[in-house]
Amino acid sequence: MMRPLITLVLISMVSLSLFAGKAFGHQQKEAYTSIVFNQRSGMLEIQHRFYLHDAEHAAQQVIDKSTDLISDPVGREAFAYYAISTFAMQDQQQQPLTLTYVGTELEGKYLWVYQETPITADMDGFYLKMSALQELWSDQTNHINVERNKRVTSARLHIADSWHFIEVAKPAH
Amino acid sequence: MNGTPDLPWGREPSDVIEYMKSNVQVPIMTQSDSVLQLDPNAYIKPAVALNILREVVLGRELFDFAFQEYSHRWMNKRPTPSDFFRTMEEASGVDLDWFFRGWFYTTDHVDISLDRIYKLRLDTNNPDIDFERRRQDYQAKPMPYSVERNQQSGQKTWVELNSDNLDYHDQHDQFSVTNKERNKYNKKHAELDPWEQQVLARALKEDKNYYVFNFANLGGLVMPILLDLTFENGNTESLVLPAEIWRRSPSHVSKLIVTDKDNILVSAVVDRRGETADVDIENNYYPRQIIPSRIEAFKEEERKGNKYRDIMHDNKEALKEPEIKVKKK
Repeated sequence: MMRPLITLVLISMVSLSLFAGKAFGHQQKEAYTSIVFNQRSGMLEIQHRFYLHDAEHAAQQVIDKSTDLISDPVGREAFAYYAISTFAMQDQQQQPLTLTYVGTELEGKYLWVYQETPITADMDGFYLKMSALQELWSDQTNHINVERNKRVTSARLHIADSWHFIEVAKPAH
Repeated sequence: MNGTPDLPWGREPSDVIEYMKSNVQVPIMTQSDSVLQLDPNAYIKPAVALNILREVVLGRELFDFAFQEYSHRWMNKRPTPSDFFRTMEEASGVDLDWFFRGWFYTTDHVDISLDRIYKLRLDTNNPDIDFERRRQDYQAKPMPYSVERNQQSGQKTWVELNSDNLDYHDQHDQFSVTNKERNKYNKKHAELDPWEQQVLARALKEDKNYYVFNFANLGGLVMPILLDLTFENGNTESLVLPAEIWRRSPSHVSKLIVTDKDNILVSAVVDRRGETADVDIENNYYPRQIIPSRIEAFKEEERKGNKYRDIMHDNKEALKEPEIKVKKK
């Protein structure tokens, strides 16, 4: 009787550590930004994905102690404006690109913030800056994927990084 | 609560897609000082890999047995990852080298594309059957504008206006069968062994559909192909093509699927439920479909539904008696 019980507990512990990871206990301290060339709409779509758990911690510090991202759309918008203020793009001549705020939404354990700008002919590389949450947690990593024609170029930005140049993947021939 | 609850905070294949398709990664099996980012590499990707191994590759019964065996064997000992890999293979009796190699020792990602589907039909060599089929194929082609407009305007050909000019060639087209062809076929058929004649007769009677599926492995990571087929008569079928299909040709494979005469294929999709962490779903559909981007979908309609509720927060609200306004009489 004892042996199956010990086994079950062991399996549960291992499973929890493997499957749940650090999702509940700690902040992930990682955010993902996807910059996608949508040739169908002619827009460069920018999607920032934050762990909701991280965003909640951050919002209470950078916005207000009582900020509620889950049930209060105003709180979410406030966080979205904070997020887009920490992200910037420049063209190859280091001229700033104007990004339009599209919206924010919750999806399970993620909080998404959307921006966009029209695609222009000379978009073969960008200077990027993404410092969201890094002033709060020095080990925050912001991962950026730039995707054109199914090809991805990536960068992982840390607190010490300033403007980072990404060459956009050339279309496959 | 009935059944297993839907836990949107679990580790699902979609959680690791953004990381796995990026070009700044190291394999899971990297010495920890050299890992670029511990969280996606050491926590999320292995968790998703094991989830896929359990739900897609082995199935729960086999995975749970092997995992339990691993716990028994290595209880109070110091297993290395290789011990885990070996035990899972040995206890399940399944060759998982390809799985552990792809997920733990490379930075490849999953991107299986359904490039094309060809439909084939068994040639009978019988001119009375094959010529008629070719005639039907010819007649199914779109009519040229000149012919269609001539018909619409009521114009008639010379022989239609002068029926005495009709000859043999007006009554027989290029698909008309001659006795010469019949004799040739009859001779060939007579030379077949009786069992060959029976097989041919059965195949002609069944007249099955033969579909050749061309797949490409664009991501490099070998995975089973989860295929959903939809037929003209409304029937659907789900197939799992094991990962071994890639064994002799890791980048491109073809698979022949035979269906009954009535099951005419209209569409197919690979990994419809997103179970394999496939990074590009657009090439999973045949025929191709327009898949709205995340922002396009957001603009179309703000996502709603039960999973977007915050049930923990909403449950904190005390239950109230409804306030009933007294209506003025």
